[in-house]
Amino acid sequence: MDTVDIRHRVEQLQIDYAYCIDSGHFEDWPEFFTDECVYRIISRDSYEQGHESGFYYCRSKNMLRDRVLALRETTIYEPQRYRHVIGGTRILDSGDKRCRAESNLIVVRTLQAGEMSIFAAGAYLDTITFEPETPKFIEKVVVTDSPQIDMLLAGPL
Amino acid sequence: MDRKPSAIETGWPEEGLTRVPYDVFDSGEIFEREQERLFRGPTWNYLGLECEIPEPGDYKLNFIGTTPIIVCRNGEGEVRAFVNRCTHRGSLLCFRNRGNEKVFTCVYHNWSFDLDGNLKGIAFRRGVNGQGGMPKDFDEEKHGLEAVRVTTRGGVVFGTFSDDTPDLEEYLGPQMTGFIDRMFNRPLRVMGHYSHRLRNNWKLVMENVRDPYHASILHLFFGSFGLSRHTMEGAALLDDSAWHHIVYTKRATDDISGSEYEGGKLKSMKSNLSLADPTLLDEWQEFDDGITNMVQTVFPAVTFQQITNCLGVRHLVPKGPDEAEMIWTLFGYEDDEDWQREIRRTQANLVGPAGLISLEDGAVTNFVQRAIRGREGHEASVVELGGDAVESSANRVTEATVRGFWKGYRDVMGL
Ligand code: FES
Ligand SMILES: [Fe+2]
Repeated sequence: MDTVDIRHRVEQLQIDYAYCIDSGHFEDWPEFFTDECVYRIISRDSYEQGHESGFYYCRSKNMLRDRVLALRETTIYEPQRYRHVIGGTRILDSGDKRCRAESNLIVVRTLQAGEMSIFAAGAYLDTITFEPETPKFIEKVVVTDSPQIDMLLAGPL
Repeated sequence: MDRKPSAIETGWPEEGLTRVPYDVFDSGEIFEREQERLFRGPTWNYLGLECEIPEPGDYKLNFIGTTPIIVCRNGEGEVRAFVNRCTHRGSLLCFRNRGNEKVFTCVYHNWSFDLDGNLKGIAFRRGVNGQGGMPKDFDEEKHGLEAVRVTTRGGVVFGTFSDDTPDLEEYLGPQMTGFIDRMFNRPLRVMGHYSHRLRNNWKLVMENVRDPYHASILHLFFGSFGLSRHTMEGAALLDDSAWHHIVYTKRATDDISGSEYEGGKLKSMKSNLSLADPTLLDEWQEFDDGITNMVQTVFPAVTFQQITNCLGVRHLVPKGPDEAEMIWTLFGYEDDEDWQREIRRTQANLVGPAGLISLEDGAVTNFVQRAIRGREGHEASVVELGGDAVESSANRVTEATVRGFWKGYRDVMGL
């Protein structure tokens, strides 16, 4: 794959990923990951200090599924929507089979009464595999610039 | 616009601790009195963990109420705390959340203070060419940083502004002190640190953490996966003053047959659910007493928790009558093995603003804040589960622990 091709595939993956969450299709969210995977949401400050614990820590696709199960069945919160804007993707190193990429992200959260806020700003630190055909995340670390969450963080970022 | 008189003028409802007037949650006047009487009064306030400032000169910032505080370790290795306010014209002295300094130098005009808070240097003290400068009789010794009295136990640092606050052990009583010693029994290692902005009065959060009634009802995950149910062995404890509380449960001690949990009678019980990756709830028995869930508060505003092996501190910082910040510090022990650390970090999914058993708390406390607006007169909440008792019980279907908070609050606030 040439670099243009890799960039294109990574950006397409991010677009599909954002659409999945923003449209509320949480059941499809784990499918963006390999069976063995790591998904974390952690603040920049904690990440740089090497802390293990952040807001989310899933170390298998099944744990992602359990997050979805909890969201659907046990979590109680007011209706709200996320809108992801992902951009500025930098491909850090890449081979035919995998690459690492960093992207900027901004998530606007809209509550049912209409209040909108920039809910999260930060970066995706991704490791992506191109095998098999559809690219998937082996690891996705969501590093949030703020150490603070406003009220609650229900759905994934 | 007419201002409705607050509970300061009208007094507490005559029912006593079973009623809480809603204006304690949104009155600016009451908020101001809390700063003066509660946070600057005879209370021990959480400042941090000693392991966050291991070396001389290490410091971190925190708050007591709304007052900004520097906590540091001096040259002799002792923990000190000061108001983070330069004694010249009031600038923040430190503005990075943590660091290491030999002296604290204010950026505004370079007054400097040693690690014991003494004023050590004044820029242009003698002026220039004999002109200007501070008066000759200006007494540096009278212009040190405002000191906070500090005490530590098990590596936890508390501070108080008042000389009247009794020693921590007396303040807590033997049982509460014993629970501090239980968890803070050897060197700690911080595993996570984050903040949770709450759009409600801080006391709604303290009621919430001291309220065992809601845990298995609101947090469906809790009941559904058998983490905590009222049918399990446990207790709701108060010290003699009732200011501080502990609620604990011992998992694997219950039989739900014949209870409201059985057969889906309780909306909160979804016993048909199962986890795709049950290692989410992997655990080991960490404490000999068999307690799997423990929440302890030290009045007024800090919570220590053990959710199986997820250990943490939640420190509540009031930001205004209807806003607060909960600062979380998750920790393990220095001697943890890798597998234990992995279990702790996995269980951390249960807590915090994204926590599977706590995410709802930030929603409901905000629901109260929104619903008490526009009230007619002196409406009050009903805190009557378990009658009006303010004492320990093995039974956790009680709001005695919440009433205990209000007892402490009224004692100190003169309400
Ligand atoms: S305000 Fe600190 S030196 Fe002037
Ligand atoms: Fe709760």
